[in-house]
Amino acid sequence: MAELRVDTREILESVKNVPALSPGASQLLSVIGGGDYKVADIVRVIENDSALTANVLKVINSAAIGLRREVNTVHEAVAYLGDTKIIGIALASSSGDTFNKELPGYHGSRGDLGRHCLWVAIAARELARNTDGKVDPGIAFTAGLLHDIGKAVISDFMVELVPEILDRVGNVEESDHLEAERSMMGTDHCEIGGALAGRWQMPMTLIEGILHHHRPAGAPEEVRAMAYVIHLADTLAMMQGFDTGVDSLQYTFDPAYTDHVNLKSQGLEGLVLDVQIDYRSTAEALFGDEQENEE
Amino acid sequence: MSVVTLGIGEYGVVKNPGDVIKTHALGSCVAIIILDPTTRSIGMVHVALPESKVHPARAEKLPGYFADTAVPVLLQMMKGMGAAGNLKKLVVKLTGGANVMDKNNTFNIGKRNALAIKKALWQQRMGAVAEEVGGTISRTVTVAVDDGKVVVTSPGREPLNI
Repeated sequence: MAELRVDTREILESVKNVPALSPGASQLLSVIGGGDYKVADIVRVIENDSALTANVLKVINSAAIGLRREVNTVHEAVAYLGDTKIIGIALASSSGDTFNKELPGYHGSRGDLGRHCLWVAIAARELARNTDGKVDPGIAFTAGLLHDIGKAVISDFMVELVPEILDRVGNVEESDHLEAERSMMGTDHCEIGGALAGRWQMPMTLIEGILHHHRPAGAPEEVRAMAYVIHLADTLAMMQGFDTGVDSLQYTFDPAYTDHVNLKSQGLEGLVLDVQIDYRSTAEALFGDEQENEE
Repeated sequence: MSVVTLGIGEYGVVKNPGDVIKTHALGSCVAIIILDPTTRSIGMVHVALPESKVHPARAEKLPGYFADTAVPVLLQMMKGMGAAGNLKKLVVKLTGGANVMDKNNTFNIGKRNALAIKKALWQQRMGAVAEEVGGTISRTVTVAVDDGKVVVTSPGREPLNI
């Protein structure tokens, strides 16, 4: 085990500097994270937040969505977009720069984190639909969006450590990138993400999803299937090149997802393609017409 | 002088002095690079999946996405650039096809991509002269018309010419 190179308390302390989510976005996450919600619940939360309403209407009327007439009500927008895209809009528009931050400690460019999280969210939603009802697709999507949020905080503390982390993983002194983060900083992006989600007052289900996405076997039983869904979605995103930088493919993969997700290899490839198609249209609506994967 | 950056499933060609063609973050995807020493043109495609039978309609719209449809479309494009009479002189190189860190090797999309490309090349009586595939590293590949060097970069590694 390497000597600690960063004061862990300092990293935890910096979680407090991340701006809070807007009240509307917070409420939306808590409605969805609680499960068993109705479309009307989502509409009500959005309508009570004028900034969120404006953003939802802006996206639904954008060229990327391509509707022939203008949509003026949240109810209609939610019906067109579906609840998961609404969550994406709420988070993207109310979390300030958090998802768009450059990640110097991962050599990730501006926008990489948001693109990666969106790809994982869509994949997690699709995988959840193949869990015989064990994982709610809306919760999986939301947990997918948030799973790597800890990187936005911990990245700043890792800038000087990048070469050493890569060496240690490459030389198998550490089993993977997560182990290397832990042994050099006393914490990792999952734990810091969990701390941030706690500060954002997210429901426990989402916090557990963030905490266990690289080690799903260790998740409490009631959220283990979701942890595996996020774990698999994250891996598929990295395989497709939607990564956040130098840590791409540097995490141990746990193949026991098959206990929770019912997919054959052919099905997995079909799913990757569906995710990619959905990602393109969603990313265009959320981020504008930027080039995907642009560096 | 232009820099062409290919996204997933896209293909392209460059031929003017100063032109560069590249694709980022290959992951388990594989880039096929074809150099034509006669016309000095360079083609590239970013292949994501091995077989188009997963989604034939998608393959029609985006043939570069699948290995079995990417090889013919890339060759067609090279012929359009003047390679028709010299197919045997074309130089083919491959990179990408990474795996995840899994001792059980559950996912082999990277390996299957590389194999499917080789099979499609073989059907055209062609083969790759160089490859930098596999492992657990995500690669970016860049080729410049000026020197024709195929440069593969990955986080924490020195650039590699293949």
